[in-house]
Amino acid sequence: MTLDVYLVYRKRTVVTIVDLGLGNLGSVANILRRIDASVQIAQTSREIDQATKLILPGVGAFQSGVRKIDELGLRGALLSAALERKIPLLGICLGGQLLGTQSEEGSGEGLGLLPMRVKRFVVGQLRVPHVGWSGVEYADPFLKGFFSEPLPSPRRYYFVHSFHFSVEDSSLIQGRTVYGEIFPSVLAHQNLIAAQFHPEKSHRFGMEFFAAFLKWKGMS
Amino acid sequence: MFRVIPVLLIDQGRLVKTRKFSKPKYVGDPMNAVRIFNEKEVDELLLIDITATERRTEPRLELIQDVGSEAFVPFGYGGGVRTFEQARSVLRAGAEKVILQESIFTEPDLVPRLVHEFGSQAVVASIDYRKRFWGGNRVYRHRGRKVTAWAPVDFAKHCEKTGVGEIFLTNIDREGTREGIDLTEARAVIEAVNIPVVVHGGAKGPEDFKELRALGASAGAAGALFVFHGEMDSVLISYLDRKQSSGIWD
Repeated sequence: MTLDVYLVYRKRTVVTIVDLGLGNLGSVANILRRIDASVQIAQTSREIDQATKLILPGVGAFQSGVRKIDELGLRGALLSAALERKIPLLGICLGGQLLGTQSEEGSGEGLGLLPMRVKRFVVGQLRVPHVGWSGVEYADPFLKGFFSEPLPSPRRYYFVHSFHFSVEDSSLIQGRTVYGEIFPSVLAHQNLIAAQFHPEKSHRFGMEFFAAFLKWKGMS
Repeated sequence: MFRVIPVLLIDQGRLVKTRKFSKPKYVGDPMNAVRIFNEKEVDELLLIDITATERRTEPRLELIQDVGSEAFVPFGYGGGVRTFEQARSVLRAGAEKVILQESIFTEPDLVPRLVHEFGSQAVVASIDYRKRFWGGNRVYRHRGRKVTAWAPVDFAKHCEKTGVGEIFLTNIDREGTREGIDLTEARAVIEAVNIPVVVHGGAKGPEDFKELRALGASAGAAGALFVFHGEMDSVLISYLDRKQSSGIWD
């Protein structure tokens, strides 16, 4: 029996984490294993081509993320997975930002999968970087479609960032967070999700989020 | 949201607790504490290797990986991180943030390079201070053994200029004493910078965190409060009860 057949038989969802060499791959892998996912790590185009669900994590500056994608030659495979095969793809923090086009943090072209730019928090009353636990208010349709059961109480997650998503098309915004300003913390379009927070560091809220992603079939 | 952060001091792989930065007392295996803190869903953890700079040892990557496997809470790691490669390996092993102190004095290029590669939110400056004999607080290096000419406020501003995303401020005289936080210096540093400040040293209970929050601190950190219980310093890993601690998180 091949591994894939066995895993389907066991009914464990297979998810592939893209390794850009930037930050906490292990934490994402471990929390996914804790919720009984079967975790694969992709470091090459070939491995991305074989994925049926993808997670793009990342800790670091935008320009480093772009550089890593191109150094490793993963741009083509990521675009193909997202646009041609249309598999579910979750970008976390920097990974989420890389789904967009450009960032005020630094140079380089993101994957351009979402019409989103990345902007710096305006230093006003509140300190930058935004570090700590904040709530996400989800849009109703997304709430019903992503989390299969109603959430009993407001969700909070760990954020640690100086730059955040910015979109012109508000229909992309599935989650909003207040930090001085209201900024989009979760974006989704078709098979793509971008989350600004770190679900892998948000204990049970994070596990819930990942569990929902494992079952997600895309925006209807 | 304000954060309440347990601090774990590591001495050659063992969990210890010091008092005014001296007399390290063995507490146990760090991973046991990490597991308990994970169950209690703490806001964040800070792990500091207190002999790494002195002994010139490497960051404890295996420990960091273990923490990342067991605990789905954010954590920072510091102690003896002197090079870009060491800092990168700390972040890659699973820490959200790398905490620097000695290298801010000896490697002025390191923080800017790390910030450029990883972003300021991944780099924390750890500032230890105590009162000098004739008054006035000064920043110290080498676990409180080497005085500098810096006042905490000026050094905090200097660190902010280098690009760090957060200040971890420790009062050496109060560390491990549970005698209360030095709110005066905390306020001065908080007001001097525009980046988050985590205040550490002397916390004795929930009231201290309420006060810190009111001052504008982004977080309060504590070691002894969460690791010891009672006058005899019996080891007991604890945290605040989220339901009882109004004024801190709401």
